[in-house]
Amino acid sequence: MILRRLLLAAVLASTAGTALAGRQCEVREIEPEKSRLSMQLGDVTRAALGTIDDEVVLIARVGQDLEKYGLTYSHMGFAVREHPAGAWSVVHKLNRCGSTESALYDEGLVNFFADAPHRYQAGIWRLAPAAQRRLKTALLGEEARTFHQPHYNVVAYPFDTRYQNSNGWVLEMLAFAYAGEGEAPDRPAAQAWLKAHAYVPTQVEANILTRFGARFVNAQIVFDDLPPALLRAGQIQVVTVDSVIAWLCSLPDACQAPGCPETRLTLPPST
Amino acid sequence: MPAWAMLSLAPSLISADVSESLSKAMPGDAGKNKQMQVTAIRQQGDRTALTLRSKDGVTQVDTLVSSAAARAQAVQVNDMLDIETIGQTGFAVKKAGATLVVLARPDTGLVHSKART
Repeated sequence: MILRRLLLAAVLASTAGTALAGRQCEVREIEPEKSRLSMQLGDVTRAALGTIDDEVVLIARVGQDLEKYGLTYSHMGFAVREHPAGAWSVVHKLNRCGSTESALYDEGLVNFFADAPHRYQAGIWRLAPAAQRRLKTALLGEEARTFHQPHYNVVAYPFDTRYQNSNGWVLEMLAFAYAGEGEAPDRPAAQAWLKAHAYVPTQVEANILTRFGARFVNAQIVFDDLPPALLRAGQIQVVTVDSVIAWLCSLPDACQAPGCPETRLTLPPST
Repeated sequence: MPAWAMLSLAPSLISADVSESLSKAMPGDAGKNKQMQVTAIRQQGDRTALTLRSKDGVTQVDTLVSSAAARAQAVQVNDMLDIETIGQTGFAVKKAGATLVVLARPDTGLVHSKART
């Protein structure tokens, strides 16, 4: 199975008697040492976030090794201070057990890094205060759902609302946060705003055989939202962490410092 | 970037039985102990239940560990296991440098997960 991720959270949730998204999922056992590393990175991240007074930051993890494709992080979400579920918690979109469905999750920092990452590394980006305020209200309220499309597609086209991948939800939440009041109240408006404000997705070259093969082996890959011209040219456009950050860097005053610098946290190899 | 690379970008949810290792909140003062002794072992399903007690007998922890990990480290009654503090978040229980289980402090809020319905 190509998509193999582990999440500590499901059984944790069951012990608390809460609804469990992953019950139907395959049960895997994570190595105790990986649990230790996840907790260590969660703790390091907590300590780093404790030194700033932000309410919301962008946070990313290295779920897979994508460096050979020029990408660093594979997945991102929002870390929210004083989240009702506890301390700094991450709000992000997860695919359910390799299915075509996804949900929004509230998770602790340890859980966020417990996804059997390729490398124990976190990226943090500090957003402008006004955007943080809008995001915090939205993330803890109903607006987070407004921008969520549960029909998951790993190669969802960023300017179509039929599907969405995990980073696509983050991008649309950012559009909501940075657009003027009432300018991006829903997904179509957010996508139009993103296009008008020069968001450029990552482009993937894929010939027809590759597309067919990918679709055949994985139901999460659907190309029917792609404009025909791009499809014919074999050019798949998708939201990635890197494309989101590159776009943020291009927006004036989107972050707390020019160039939207990353705070990178890693565990020493010997830990 | 080839399309196949994108396959790996999907963060999917697969429930993992591992979380048991984090589900046992450790008493706050347990972290003061550098070592704890195994006082009981029993098989519980496909996992191994351990009872650990501090040297002074004040703190007792019951936890479940991977049976594979317990076997690999030949964990037995009277073993002294090392308790390694992980920042302010929790503890790792180790034998001979190998992690057997990770325990979270109950009050940090760093270990939880819930899907929005």
